Amino acid sequence: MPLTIEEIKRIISLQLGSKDIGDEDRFLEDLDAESVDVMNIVVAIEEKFQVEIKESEIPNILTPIDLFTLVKDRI
Amino acid sequence: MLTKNFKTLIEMLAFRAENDPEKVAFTFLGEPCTYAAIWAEINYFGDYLQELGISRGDRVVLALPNSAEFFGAFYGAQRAGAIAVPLFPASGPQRIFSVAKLCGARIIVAPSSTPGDQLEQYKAMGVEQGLEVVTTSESRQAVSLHFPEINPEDIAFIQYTSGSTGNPKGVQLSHDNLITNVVQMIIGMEITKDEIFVSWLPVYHDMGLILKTMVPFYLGAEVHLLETNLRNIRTWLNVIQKQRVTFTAAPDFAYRLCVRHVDPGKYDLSSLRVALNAAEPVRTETIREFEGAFGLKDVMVAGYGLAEATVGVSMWKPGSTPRVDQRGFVSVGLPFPEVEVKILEAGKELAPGEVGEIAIRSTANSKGYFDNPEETAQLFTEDGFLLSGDLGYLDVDGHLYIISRKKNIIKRAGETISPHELEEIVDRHHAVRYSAAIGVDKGRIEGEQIYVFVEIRAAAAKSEDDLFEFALSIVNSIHADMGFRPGRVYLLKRKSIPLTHNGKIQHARLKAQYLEGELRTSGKILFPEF
Repeated sequence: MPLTIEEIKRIISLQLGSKDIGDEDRFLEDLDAESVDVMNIVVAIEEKFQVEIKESEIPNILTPIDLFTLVKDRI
Repeated sequence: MLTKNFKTLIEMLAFRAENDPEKVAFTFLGEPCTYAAIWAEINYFGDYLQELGISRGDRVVLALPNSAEFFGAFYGAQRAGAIAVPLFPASGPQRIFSVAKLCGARIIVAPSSTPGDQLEQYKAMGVEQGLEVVTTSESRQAVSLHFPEINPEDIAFIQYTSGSTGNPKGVQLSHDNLITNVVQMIIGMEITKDEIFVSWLPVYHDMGLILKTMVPFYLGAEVHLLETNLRNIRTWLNVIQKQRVTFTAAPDFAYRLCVRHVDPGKYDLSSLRVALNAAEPVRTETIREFEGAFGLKDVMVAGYGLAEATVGVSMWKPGSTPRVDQRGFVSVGLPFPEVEVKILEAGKELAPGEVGEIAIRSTANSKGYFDNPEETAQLFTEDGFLLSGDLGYLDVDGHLYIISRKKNIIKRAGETISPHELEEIVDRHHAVRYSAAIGVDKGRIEGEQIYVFVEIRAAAAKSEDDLFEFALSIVNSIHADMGFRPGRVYLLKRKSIPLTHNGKIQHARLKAQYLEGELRTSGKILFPEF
């Protein structure tokens, strides 16, 4: 079954403690996340979907949609 | 005997204000603040506190972030003879109020930048708890000049640290402890008045406060202060390049961030004499990668210290290649002058190479925890050595190596956090039976993260949605009280967290069960599925 952005947003919600997550909300500016929260989301996604996200890719993950786009073809 | 130019911090700042009034004491985000200006703020705020009834020995809580106003408040409290109690400012009001009560403070200093309605709310909450919330901007621009005399043995500030059990403990540091350790570090690290410092470390916490501000103030050296927010590590590197900084300090993770997240070719860090790596286990690959990336040699040195010994205990000598033992532990060097270190096990001193508890004797040792004779009694040996709770060994030449922390504490971004503090927050939820917090390092550059394991009552575990909502509420409680979010929250079945016979949580065992996958395979994890 193809990955949906809702699945990604569920993991983001669990890290940030909020259900109000827009696809294009910026983690740091709009969602009050710290960079370490983004790292924890990355680790959760790696473990849930058995994918690898490189350290060098993390700075480019600014919004939920970025994260979705990055991993959707790897699953 | 160490030569100390000043007996107290107040004498030090009065001297600078009188002799170098127009000299810049520090810059904050590029804005300079002279010694004359900071001294004026100290006097205004000290006077205001006296007007509020603060006198010798009273505690004044500071909930202030890195800022210029921190120094007026911190030393203003001391000017009035009071004891400053700096706390992590992003903690929620509940935690700030609870520590204020622990130390019997009556006044809390909030940032001047707090929005009006928020400040009103904060003040009202304070009134309910019998505490007065003030800001530095409320002080009059006038001074009575009737300040008490400050003595070297007077407590200057209390540093709250997390122990493995119970409430946070307040390490009392006297003016003499602080001046002593400042001088020890200056000699041990070969720091001169020509040193140029940069720091984004918290000014409300030991290394950022004592090493990165008191040391430069003592010498009249240049220091550039930044916000603690490391979202943009480029700011840090830019300041090093632009100001030709010679001395910086950070925990290991911050240097790893530099290597991974910036293009080293864009920065010239060749002015650096010392890049101190402390407050977290030092990784050899961090030293190799950081120095390699920026073309430096023998600049990154490992250091060791703890709040109970003021801050600095030892550091590898800058300019020489650090020793690394066969197991990959990086030496933190020789103890600073007039600091004695020995390794103990069951009260007996161990031979070189043998691993035991690191014990320290120095004039910089705290006299103990505030209002806590039981914990204070356990802190020292009969002959006055401070029991650090850390495990390590000395090599035949007296170089110290840190192996691990004996105390069950979590290190997150260089700060120590007690599992107990977090568990108390989680256990407030009525559906929680037990909770346990551990530090987990998944190999990412940010290092150890806090993982919370929560046993929930059967009635609360109805549906997947309930579990989801419940996990969210735990994340939010921790965020509200501690100012950060946990790395992961796991909801567990009843009787999943391993306990000792007398009901104590076995954190190390839980961690092993989690990392080895046993918690998952035994079906103890209810939520989430990863």
